[in-house]
Amino acid sequence: MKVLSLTIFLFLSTSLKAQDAIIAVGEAELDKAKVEITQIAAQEGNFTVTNEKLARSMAKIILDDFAFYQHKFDVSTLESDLSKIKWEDYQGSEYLIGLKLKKDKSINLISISVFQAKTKSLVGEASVRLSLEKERYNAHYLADQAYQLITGKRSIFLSKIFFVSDKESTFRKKIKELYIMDFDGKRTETLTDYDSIVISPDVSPDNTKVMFSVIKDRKGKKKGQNIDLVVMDLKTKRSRPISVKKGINSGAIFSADGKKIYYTMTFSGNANIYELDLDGANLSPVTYHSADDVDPSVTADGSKMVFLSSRPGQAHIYKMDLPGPEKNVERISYIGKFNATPRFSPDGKEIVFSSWVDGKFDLYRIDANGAKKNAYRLTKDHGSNEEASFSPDGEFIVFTSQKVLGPKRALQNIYLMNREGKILGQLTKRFGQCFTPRWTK
Amino acid sequence: MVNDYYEIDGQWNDEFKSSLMLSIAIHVFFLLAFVVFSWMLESEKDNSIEVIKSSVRVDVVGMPKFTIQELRQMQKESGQSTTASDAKEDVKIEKNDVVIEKKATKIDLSGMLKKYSEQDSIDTSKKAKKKKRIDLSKVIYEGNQVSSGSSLTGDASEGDLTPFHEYVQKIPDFVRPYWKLPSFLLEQELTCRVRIFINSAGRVIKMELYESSGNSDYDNRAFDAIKAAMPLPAPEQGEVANRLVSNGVILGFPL
Repeated sequence: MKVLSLTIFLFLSTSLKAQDAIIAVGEAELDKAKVEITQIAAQEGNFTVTNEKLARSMAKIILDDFAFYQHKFDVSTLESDLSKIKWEDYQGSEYLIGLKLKKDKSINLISISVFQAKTKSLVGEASVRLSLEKERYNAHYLADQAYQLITGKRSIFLSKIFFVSDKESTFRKKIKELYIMDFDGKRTETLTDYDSIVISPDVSPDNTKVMFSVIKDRKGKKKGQNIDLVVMDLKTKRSRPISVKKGINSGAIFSADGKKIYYTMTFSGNANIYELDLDGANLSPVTYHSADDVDPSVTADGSKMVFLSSRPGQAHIYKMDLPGPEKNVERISYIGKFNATPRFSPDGKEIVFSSWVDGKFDLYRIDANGAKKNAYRLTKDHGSNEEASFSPDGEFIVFTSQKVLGPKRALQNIYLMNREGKILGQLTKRFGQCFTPRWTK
Repeated sequence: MVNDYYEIDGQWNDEFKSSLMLSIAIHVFFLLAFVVFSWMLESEKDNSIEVIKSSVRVDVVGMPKFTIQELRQMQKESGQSTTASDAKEDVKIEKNDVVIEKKATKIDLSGMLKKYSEQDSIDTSKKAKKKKRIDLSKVIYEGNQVSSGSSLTGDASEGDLTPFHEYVQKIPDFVRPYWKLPSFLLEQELTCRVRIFINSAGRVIKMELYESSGNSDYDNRAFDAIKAAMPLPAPEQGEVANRLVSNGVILGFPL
């Protein structure tokens, strides 16, 4: 955080003392906390080589997980395990994460113990069963537990990202299906098999349902293609249609309480945003402007909605109060030939969006509230960047980036950056063209 | 002296009369010509159409050209080039900065002092301290608002600061480089205040917690920042030094 540049002082005259002078030092600068991870302590002879190898692999995952928070932590690995630690050597560290292999009634466990280095005091512990099948999940779980013990907040380590990919496309047919992967791009799973085009997913606040639109062929009287809205239960993987009105039923998002949805429909002639109960009842318009309104995003408290509108002639970002319709509509963006996919940060204080500048899209972050809104550029010289989505803790942004390889060839993959625009990695590789990444909540 | 156009008895002479008539005729002619010309122009317009010029308030005047990463790098580079001027030995403060601070202080301080001078009773309870904190936060916040934009055009002068004020306002510049927090403390938005007593050599001879943040780790880091900033510049001998050693000064982390 920036240091407060103003040094304001004032003098309070109280009857207790003649004059007490108080002067503000200002906001502290962010200091990366040094965190050290020990080697794995294991009683000799109790564990097989395979077990020890698995534990070491999990330790590596924990280390890699913390590296995502490199703007907060300076994490390194120690050469010794907890039993051989010389505490006086680590007075410059904030925390020590001790790893241990132990047995509980013949069950192999791997545990973490978080210590405050200066005081040598134990902050907390957590353990999981040593399991090859659950290696990555369990390692992320331990990393998340350590992060929570240090910061008191949830990390992104157990979060997931939904996205659409065309990797099943054939020479004759374009196919886009829905997939889910870990926050670090690993453990990808296929969620749909429509053999069609799936677009615009969104996950419910409790992470139990995912909603998306799919292009479906209609037969009989209504013959032709229609974009229907579908919701899928992530546990049973069963899906059901929610909105199948003629035209587009798309860009749907869940309300803050997960009981309603907001989405775009075109049955009336132009695109407007509507509100609908998840059970399909109580359809009502949220916007009814003659211009097209698409791509809604709501704050976690459900009080504000941001959306894209062609009201000024070009696609610009607007904000309004909920419940609508058209309540306190405020224009947010004024610049850029085309702005797209605005998304609120989890605290509702910021909006991330893409804007067409210099022949490609780049990502920007702008304050959502106040008369004066600070705007920050997040990407530059990194292809064409779109479809940003905040992590549940608001520290990271996932987005698509397209690199043009030739006149008819481009590659679009999903990348992850921190909220300051530092790109931390490419999450999808050799997975076709990837679209619309959406983080779990 | 008698005017050429007047006769002594006040009668108009002929030459003046003819000139006046000519002047009036010319003025009337031009006035009529203007009215007719304007009417002709108006008649060409379609009076059923009213042209309303639209305007919008623009909050963002342009998309930022540089990314946060680039700005940070620039800041880093400019910081490196000015390291020498930030060194401890250099206690000079930019004149413009002083003006900003003085303006901010001047505006809010009078009302603040008046308010506190109205207090009759001595109240040393925690509640009273809490009340004082809320008021103080407000004053500083308002100060920040005043200082933005036009404050440089203010009329504050060097004379507004006493030597004691001048000395204590330099202290944050020395402490701030060492005032650093890990994210898990920074995000909690805590506040503590430390009273420091400074001897004539600029050494902090005593520190006491004036108001705790409620988190001992946070409080200790504030103490550490002060310790790391020592020695502070030597105060002016006399009243300033006496006050600093006997009454000290309270540092707010951050306010």
